[in-house]
Amino acid sequence: MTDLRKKYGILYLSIALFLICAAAAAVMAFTALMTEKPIRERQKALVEENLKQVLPPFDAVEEKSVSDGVLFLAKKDGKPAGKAVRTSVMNGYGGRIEALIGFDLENRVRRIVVISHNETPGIGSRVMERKAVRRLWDVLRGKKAEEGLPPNEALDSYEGKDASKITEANVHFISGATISSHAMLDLVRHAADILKEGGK
Amino acid sequence: MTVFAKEFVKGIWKENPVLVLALGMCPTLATSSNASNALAMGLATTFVLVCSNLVISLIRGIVPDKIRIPCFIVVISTFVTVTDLFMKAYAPPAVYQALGIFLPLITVNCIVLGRAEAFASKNGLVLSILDGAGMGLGFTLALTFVGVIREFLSAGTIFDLHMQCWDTGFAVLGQAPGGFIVLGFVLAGMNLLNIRKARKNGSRYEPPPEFDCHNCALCDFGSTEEK
Repeated sequence: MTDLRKKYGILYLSIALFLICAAAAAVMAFTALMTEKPIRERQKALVEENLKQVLPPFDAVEEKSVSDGVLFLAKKDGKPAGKAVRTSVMNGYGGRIEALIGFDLENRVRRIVVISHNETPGIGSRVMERKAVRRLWDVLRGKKAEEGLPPNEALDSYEGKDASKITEANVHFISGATISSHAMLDLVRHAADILKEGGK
Repeated sequence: MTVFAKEFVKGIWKENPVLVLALGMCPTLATSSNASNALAMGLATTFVLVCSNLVISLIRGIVPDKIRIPCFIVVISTFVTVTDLFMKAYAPPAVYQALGIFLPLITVNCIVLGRAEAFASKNGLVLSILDGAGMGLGFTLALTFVGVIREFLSAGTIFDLHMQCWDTGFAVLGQAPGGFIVLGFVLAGMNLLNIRKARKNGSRYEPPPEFDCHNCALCDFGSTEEK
């Protein structure tokens, strides 16, 4: 081995590095092939789960790309059941906020689920997150976790309101999180615009 | 204690990568804001550490000295990519999202490269695996410990379970500055315990000698010799 190293010098170094990189590439390619399907299925399942959360019961959904987001048109037994918009705004306290907003047939907000955000934990995140609180005594007493989407004061205040008539005055702003609350309002308005544009 | 047990146990207390060697501070501060993320990050790093130590120990005979660092990085990044893909496919989505950029950044985590360079490239297969497992476990424990403290003080929960005895919400501890503060107290506490233990035995506490500036050849900052 030592002779080889001395004799070929830089060639030996290159070959050694090449072999190691080739083996590494093979391992990575194999893993990528193996996990490709589960990852795709999982992402699809996540989208479907979110749609189920914001829309009324449906059996088919049509996806439509619009200028700045995706419009989902849900149908049940061939009749329209509801609409959902996935879009984002950039003016959160931590930048981009992406959400899926479900509307009923009269363009009233049905439910909002924030998909990703970068707000300050404990402050801006109170506007965004639906987090179930499990308490120690409940678990010790054997009480089961509550099913369904956990509530969020700020997001729930939009529900049932006409998308085009939402203003600062009729939704819930959280004190200390003005910028995040404003961004949420912008997001819903933006979604309403997309809904209008997509309905044409 | 046999040599095998010694190599395994040293990473947990005596040479704990976070609390004694002060390595891998970046992921420690960033991912320990709550206990579940800290645990997931610790386990991912442990997996990478064990695998990279294993492979590097196997190929230590054929890797030329001059290019050993690139070779180690390639091996490490391979396992990081594998871990990343597997977590994307099978870990809880919330955990994968919370770890975000820090998962691919395990590649440049100095604990992993440090163990490859300092241990696996000089020792046999079994010892290297034990070293990796011990160091990984030490990293996981330290990270989870810091994570539990930060999550409890900032949100009143531990592993997302509300403890119902703390509702103040010390929000700063959930963010990066709070990470520094809590880590500082944990480091101080660790030193206090070690100093007390040493005093009981009638000696002075000194950190493991191979890890102070004096013995490191990377720069001559801690050198006592005159140039």
